[in-house]
Amino acid sequence: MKKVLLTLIVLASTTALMAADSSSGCGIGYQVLPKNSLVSSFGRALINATFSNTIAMTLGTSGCARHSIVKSDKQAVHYAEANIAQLTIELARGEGEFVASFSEVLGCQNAQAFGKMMQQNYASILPSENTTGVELYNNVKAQIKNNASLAQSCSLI
Amino acid sequence: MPHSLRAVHLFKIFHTIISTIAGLLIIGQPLIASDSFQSVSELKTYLFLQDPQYFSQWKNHQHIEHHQSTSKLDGPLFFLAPNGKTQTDSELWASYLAFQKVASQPDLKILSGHFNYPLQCVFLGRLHFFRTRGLFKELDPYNCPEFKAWVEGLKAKSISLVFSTSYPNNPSSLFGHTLLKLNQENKSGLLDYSLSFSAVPEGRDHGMVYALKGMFGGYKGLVEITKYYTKVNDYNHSESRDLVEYPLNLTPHEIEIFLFHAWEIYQTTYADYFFTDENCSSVLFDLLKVALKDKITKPAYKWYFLPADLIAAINPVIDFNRTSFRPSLKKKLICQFAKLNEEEKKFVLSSKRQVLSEEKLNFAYNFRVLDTTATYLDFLRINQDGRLQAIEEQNFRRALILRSQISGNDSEEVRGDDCDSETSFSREHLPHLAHQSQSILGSINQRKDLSIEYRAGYHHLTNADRGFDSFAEFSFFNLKGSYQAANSSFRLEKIGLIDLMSLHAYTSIDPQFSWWVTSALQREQSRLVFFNQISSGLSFELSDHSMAYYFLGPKLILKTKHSLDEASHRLALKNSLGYLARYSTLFKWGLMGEISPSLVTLNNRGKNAEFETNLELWISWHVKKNHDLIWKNNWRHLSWATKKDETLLEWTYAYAF
Repeated sequence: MKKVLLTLIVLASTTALMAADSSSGCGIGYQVLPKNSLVSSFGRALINATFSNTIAMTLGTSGCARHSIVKSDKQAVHYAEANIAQLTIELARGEGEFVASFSEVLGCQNAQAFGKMMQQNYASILPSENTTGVELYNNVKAQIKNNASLAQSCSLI
Repeated sequence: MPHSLRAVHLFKIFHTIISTIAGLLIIGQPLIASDSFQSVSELKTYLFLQDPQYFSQWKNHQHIEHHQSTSKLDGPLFFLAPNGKTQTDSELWASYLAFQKVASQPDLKILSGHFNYPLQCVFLGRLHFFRTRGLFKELDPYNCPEFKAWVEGLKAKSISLVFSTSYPNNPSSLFGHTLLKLNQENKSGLLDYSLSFSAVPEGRDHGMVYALKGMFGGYKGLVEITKYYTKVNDYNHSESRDLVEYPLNLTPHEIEIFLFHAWEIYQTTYADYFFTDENCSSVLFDLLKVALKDKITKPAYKWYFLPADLIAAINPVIDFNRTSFRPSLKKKLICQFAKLNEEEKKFVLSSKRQVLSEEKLNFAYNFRVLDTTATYLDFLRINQDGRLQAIEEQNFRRALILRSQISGNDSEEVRGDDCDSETSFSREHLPHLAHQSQSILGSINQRKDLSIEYRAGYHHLTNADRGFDSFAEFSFFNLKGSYQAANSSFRLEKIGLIDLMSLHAYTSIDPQFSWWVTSALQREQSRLVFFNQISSGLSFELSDHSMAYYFLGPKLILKTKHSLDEASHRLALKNSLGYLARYSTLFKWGLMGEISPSLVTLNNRGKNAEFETNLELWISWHVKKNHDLIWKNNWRHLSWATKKDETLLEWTYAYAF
């Protein structure tokens, strides 16, 4: 049920963003090569696997934004979506460059405390092997909110 | 032009020069107003007096090589004059008129570029060109909300050149890849933006088609700006390539100019992609050239421009003391695996085949084993097209859950995984240490025959390994001729089209095949033959300094002429066996053998089942960077020839430049 709701939210926000976007396509790649968006054209399996077009359009990433800058309020979701493979491993250790940067995009002042907290709650924030980046982001957010000191330390939550 | 008109024209130019000089001398400002130029000649005169180097800088803006007049950019939206791609002056004049129009009519909106932004907000590179020469001061780039948002989003405080090492499974990436990292003032660097120029396949081309189109044209290349972590994912993680980061010494003003120009390119154009000279590296060079002007130079004596050439070309602005690199996923895995004992290694490898039971997992209650298991299965997932088998997925999950239960209180060493850090790895392979990418080789053999060879885009087995992964060979063109002492004649020895030898060490954690491809017109006995071979095989790392290989594959020889003494066209099965080693950074040597029985022979004398045997021993002395001295002894046996055995002893001096 949660996944269905999430999908609906994503689709709804995508439609809204697409409606607001008066360009006829999806970024510079679309302009030059109308049959392919830049994201799908690069032929790299990982990009396609990590950034579904739906997600990419929602987040305003390289293929679809007019200037490629990730919207600041979407940075953490974009980050979680793009780096789910590394985060899955590093969060189990509670440390690492990807964990530290995740902490940074969430506006957390103490990356070490963030990492330790996520390690302790690993099974909750990554409940299955199929956990998506967006789900991970939501679960991490919930964990931060449940922890008074982290909630205070993480400014973007 | 009638005489009277020409006189008027000359008078106008003369008037412009005199008034400009007078203005500059008297009040420090030109007397002519920015909207007073009536022709491109007047404009050029004015610009020349402002800056004698203006024209070369304008050509930099237009991506026109020093001695040429046509822009390398191909997107029509970049040119404001209909013939702007080939007519530099027309483009200069059209740009001036366009800015003059919007400057004189503030309410007028001329929309340009891919996204229909106001003209003065799209062509910021050339607007800056005019503004720094006293024109259009009223058009402020920072009044453009889209550009302002872009610059504020990038937060670029400095720029680094990033070199992605080669990806052996993809022929088009053999020479590596380059991109720029726009560094923010954050801690990790993952959150920075990257700027790159890449070929964009329009269909779903793969492998050789991709490489051929990339080399000979067929793709459009685009500037792409994206978060750096997506590049780390692509190269470092998915393709297991090291990323080497070279910080550049750029002033804030140079960074600003770079961003103006990059924005203009991003908003308007693309360039047809060619592997040799319109590739990821040459376009980055052209972008940087606009900001760095004469600080960086492209070597005029090279007809191609590879990623390693970019490092050499911008060498003066690289801060080599701050060079850093991110080891690839494969290197991290090898590092982690090497730290385990035999039993632990078996445990990690078993995660591929069998369910890790409670009992086994209890044994593995050790952060090193669990970390290595997770890295191994992550690596395996990539090699299996992004999927793990159900058992593997289950083991991956279990290992990570267990790992998450080991915290600082449970183990004293939980923070000991230094395989994430570059300090655990040798820096010998960093690309700036490599020899130059083309070379001239002069040789003499025991018959006193002299030969000279040119190699382009190459790294040979006999070359020093510094700057490359150990024991690799690739070249995309070489040409060899010789002077035959016996009959005092010159002859062509070889035209090599491609030669790629990729030696992957076959290991339990990465059991990959090696491969070897050659295509050349070369001499066999006294005849030129068209020689093609493609082999696959296994390579084994015997120590840190030695390797052995075995290859098997078809070899096709097509003869240009026949004689009674020689086999004709033939298809053979090539068996190659070799041992390669190096001693310190000074010497390398190799013993390479080949036995190739013919499978099909079109022989004028009706012979079949012929075979060819080759054995070669070589020793290479790396005298200094770019200089090698090679001794080679080759013995060859051709079963069909009158003179069956032939021995060649050769001394070669190789100079890379």
